[in-house]
Amino acid sequence: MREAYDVVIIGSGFGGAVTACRLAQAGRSVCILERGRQWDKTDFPRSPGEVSRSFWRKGESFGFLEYKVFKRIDVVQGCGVGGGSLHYFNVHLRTPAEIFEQDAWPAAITRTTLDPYYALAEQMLESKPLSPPEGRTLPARTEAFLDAARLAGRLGELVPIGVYTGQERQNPHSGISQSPCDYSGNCMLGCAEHAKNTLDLNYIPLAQRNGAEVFPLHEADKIEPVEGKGYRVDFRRLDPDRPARYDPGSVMGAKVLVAAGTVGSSELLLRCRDVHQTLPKLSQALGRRFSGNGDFLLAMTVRANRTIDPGRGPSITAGADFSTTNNKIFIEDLGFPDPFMWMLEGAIPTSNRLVNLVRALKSYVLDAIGVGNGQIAFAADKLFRGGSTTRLLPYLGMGTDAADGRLRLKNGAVDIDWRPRRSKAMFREMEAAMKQLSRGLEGKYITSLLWKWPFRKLLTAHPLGGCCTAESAENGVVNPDGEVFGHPGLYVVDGSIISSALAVNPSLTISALAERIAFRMIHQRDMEAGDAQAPQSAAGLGGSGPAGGKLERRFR
Amino acid sequence: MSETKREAVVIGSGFGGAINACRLSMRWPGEVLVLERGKKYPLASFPRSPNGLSRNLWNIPEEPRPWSFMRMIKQPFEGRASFPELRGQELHGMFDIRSYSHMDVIQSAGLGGGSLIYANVFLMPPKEIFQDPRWPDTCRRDQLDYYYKVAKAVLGSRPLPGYDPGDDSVLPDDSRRRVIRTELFRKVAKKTGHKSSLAEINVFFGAYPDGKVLDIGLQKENRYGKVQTSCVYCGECMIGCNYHAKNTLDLNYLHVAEKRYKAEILTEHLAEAIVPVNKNGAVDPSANGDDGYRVYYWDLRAKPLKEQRKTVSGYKELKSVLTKRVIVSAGSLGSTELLLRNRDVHGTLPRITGALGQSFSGNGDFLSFGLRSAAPVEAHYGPVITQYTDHNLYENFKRDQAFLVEDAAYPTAIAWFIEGFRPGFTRLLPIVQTAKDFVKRLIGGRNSGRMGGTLRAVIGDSSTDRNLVFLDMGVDQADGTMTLGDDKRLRLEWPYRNSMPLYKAIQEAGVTFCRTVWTRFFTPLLTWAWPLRRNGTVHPLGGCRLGADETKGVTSASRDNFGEVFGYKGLYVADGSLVPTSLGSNPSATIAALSEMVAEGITEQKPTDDL
Repeated sequence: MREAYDVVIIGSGFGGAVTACRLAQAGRSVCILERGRQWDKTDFPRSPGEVSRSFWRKGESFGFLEYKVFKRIDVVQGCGVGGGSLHYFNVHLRTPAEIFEQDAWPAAITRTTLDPYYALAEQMLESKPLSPPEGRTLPARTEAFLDAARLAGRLGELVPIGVYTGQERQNPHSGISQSPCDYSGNCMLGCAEHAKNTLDLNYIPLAQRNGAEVFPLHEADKIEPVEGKGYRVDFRRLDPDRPARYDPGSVMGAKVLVAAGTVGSSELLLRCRDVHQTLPKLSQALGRRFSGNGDFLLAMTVRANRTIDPGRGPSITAGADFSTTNNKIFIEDLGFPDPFMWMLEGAIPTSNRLVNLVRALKSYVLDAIGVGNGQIAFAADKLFRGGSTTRLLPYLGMGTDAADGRLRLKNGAVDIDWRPRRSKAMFREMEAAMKQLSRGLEGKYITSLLWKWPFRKLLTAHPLGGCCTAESAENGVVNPDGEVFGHPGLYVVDGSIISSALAVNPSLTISALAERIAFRMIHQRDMEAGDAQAPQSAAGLGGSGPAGGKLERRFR
Repeated sequence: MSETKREAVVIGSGFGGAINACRLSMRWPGEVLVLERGKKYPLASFPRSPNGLSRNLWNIPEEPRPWSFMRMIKQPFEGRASFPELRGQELHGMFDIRSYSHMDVIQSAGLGGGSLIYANVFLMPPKEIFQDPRWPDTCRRDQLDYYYKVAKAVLGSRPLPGYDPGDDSVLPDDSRRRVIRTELFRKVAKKTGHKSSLAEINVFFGAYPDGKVLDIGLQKENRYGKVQTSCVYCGECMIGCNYHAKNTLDLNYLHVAEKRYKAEILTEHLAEAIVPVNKNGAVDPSANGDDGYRVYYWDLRAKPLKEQRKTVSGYKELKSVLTKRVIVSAGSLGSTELLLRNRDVHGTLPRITGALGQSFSGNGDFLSFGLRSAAPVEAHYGPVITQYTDHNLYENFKRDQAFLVEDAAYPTAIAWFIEGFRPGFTRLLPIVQTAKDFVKRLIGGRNSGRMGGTLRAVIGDSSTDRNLVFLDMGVDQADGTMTLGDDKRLRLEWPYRNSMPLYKAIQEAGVTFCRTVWTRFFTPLLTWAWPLRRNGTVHPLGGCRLGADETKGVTSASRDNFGEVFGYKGLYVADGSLVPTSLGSNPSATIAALSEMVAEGITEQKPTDDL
């Protein structure tokens, strides 16, 4: 690591990876600090023990999933080179134009200004609706969802996803080999096929080829302005072999981009403002307008009228717009990873399991003493088929919640104060839509376990806001170019600059905003027709592992 | 109407069937037909979800057949053949589970037969096995060696890369290639004074042709032109390899037979009867096969509803084919059952000798577990079997107590199912912890962020981490008998008491192993518990054993008509049922070698590994 770089980027999720790639291509020296590890496709967990060890727990375990519990909302986020893309569900939807027309958004950002950047990000992430790999059809879950949407009178459609389904190939951006999706449904546990177009297959290797340096296991702690030189970033070098300890270090950046994820960026900036007091001019709006993107997870239809096998296929494949006059609502089908289906299958007692067990035993014994009818296989089939996971369709609902949460520091740790009161009407409408879908499948609707009394809380995979974009420092933390008010040269580029709920999966919007911020940093203008659209691509690169990454199995 | 006579019909596509299909179609391209009852499994088509796996069983409800087969086929049978489809009780999946007296058998149905679910081990038994008087003189170990070599080259066996067969201090450079389980078994073998050897497994690590190991997960064409993936160590060999990393038969022998030599392969077709024909080409049970055979088989595929309505609804179609030769390789149970039924029920092959169905062996298979080991096991990582520990088989041969202890991986799905099934009280501690955190947060408003910790306590240290599986196999007495019961279905009697010394020795070895590594419990499979005393086998052997003459066996052991059924010309058996004794080691290598010998006798061409 050098002493100083043109640009220091904190985090390697959608915001960090995109800007790192573009700035490196423009010739800037770029350094990425990432608190998580580098993950190879064979590192991802599969057994129960491995999954339990693949969570991120500060000073204890260095996994790629982080589950944070707050009072009324839980947040799932990713850590590792590639950030949230390691465990996300690959959906790349453009945000509807109406969302940007809300007062919360500055006039400079509209769907029209973002469209060219959306196109660029879509091209890099290769998002397209699922075309089944050779020898397969659409998953039963997709068909069921599309049918249910049709019966509910809405137009269901295959959503664009960044999942590769063709023959084995080398990724055009990085040369890393990718196998076609094997329908294992393990998107959330990390893709062992590299079929997911995660950031460590495209933007990040491209950045590295243009000279960017990635430092995994470097957790930023403090940002301090240095007169005339930019900012100094203090970080901790983590070491999984000595989990409880760390080495301090620091690096100078003429420009510093904070892209540590919604919760991470706000926490870092809050700490710099209130604890370290190195960035005192940060806006008072910091931490405000937190939104869970109206995420409603863990709701599902049970006992549908057909086999759905929710574990099969990419975790999200289709969606339908259920917007009402007041709210934008988008509902998608959701697959749980196969392992979880097996666990559920074991855990949920079914009414006839005992009967079937007795039947199977009877068949077994009769066969054994020679008077059976040789139907042991059929008895065994019934024993497992009776399970409740077969005809279960989970949903992911997203909608325009009130975005009135607040991130703050409490006893030195980040806390989210979020109340569902002003968003309740939207969630009621969303649940009504899900009930409608359930009726189409002749199944029973079950609401999220967390949403029930006494918890009454939500789980979000899409935390947004906290460092909102605005015209002035009274309303937000950054200007439409991502630069922090009061601290020139300091940028925020990730989900935290999104000023309202998007009501669709935000990864593509974060990428497009990052593309725009990077473009404007380099060219000081917006993209116009005639600007080179095609990003440089890699040729003649080989290998299955991430460039420069140390190949090593985790969990030992 | 003159129907062209095929050169050969091969029934079954396991090790015997695939090899004969390939060798015979090399001799007579385009003239060979393969009948396989199971389905075809292309890349990534093996089911994984609970529902998918539960449908992946084999079940054809067999009604007692009251009708006379001979009378039926002598009349035109279009649309009248009855094979009732019993109201959705049909399953055409891969696992065929049978439960007999003191013996459960698991076998596989599908294109590639047992190779779809086998544990890939290519292991040659020691020469002492073949010195048993039940083996004919033409099958000594040194006579078989050449055929072992050929089959091994085609199947691409090699030990786990990165380890040194002789020196267990050598570890792979790439830590992803480390299999903790293997290292544990090798360590224990050393401590207890046994010899653990790395098993040669038919798994694709990209070794051919340059000998270089391909990086995990990369794809490459194998030497026969089929794309395979370098093993990803997922531990799912037993439920079908979705990566085509296992060298199953449909990637080598069958692939070449079908693509290069134009063999016709029919899947979901179940053979029912083999009837000799006379000079005029009419079926005649008294003929001896000189003029060929007519093979009758059911088309099990579900027909479009439209066609179903035309015939009697829900009935399967019986088809037939004329052929010069028939190679029966439907597996030990399948071949024996088919021949028994043709001799005793249909009366179409009356000359088969009385030894048919005798000398069944479960190959001494014995499954046992070590629970809650102190050392980590990672039973979900790596190919299913990676090593074998020798107990009196290769060294100090002791016929009564010779066996191998092999390690085993099992799919994570099972571990997840067990985790879900585990009773609630075992998770009391983490639940209390969560409750405590919740209260703390309510009072202090503090985010403990310990959800990960709770999850770890709930599902961490789970069954795959600490539980051992032992796959043992040894030299049992091979004295089981297969007969047809009153309902005309197969019966199997297994006198387990005669092989008790072997099972006792196996259990003792298991207990010693568990003691050595501080594993808390040792238990055989629950069905072994007294008074059940039931064995399970995945390696059924015997039934149509080889013999020097009609009094000693069912099939000929003479080199020029190896495997031919006594009393008939052109009717061969090629599969595990030829084996007259237990082998003590995984039998696929031996079945492959014997099948190469059968094919050599028929084609009169010496086999090589160039297909």
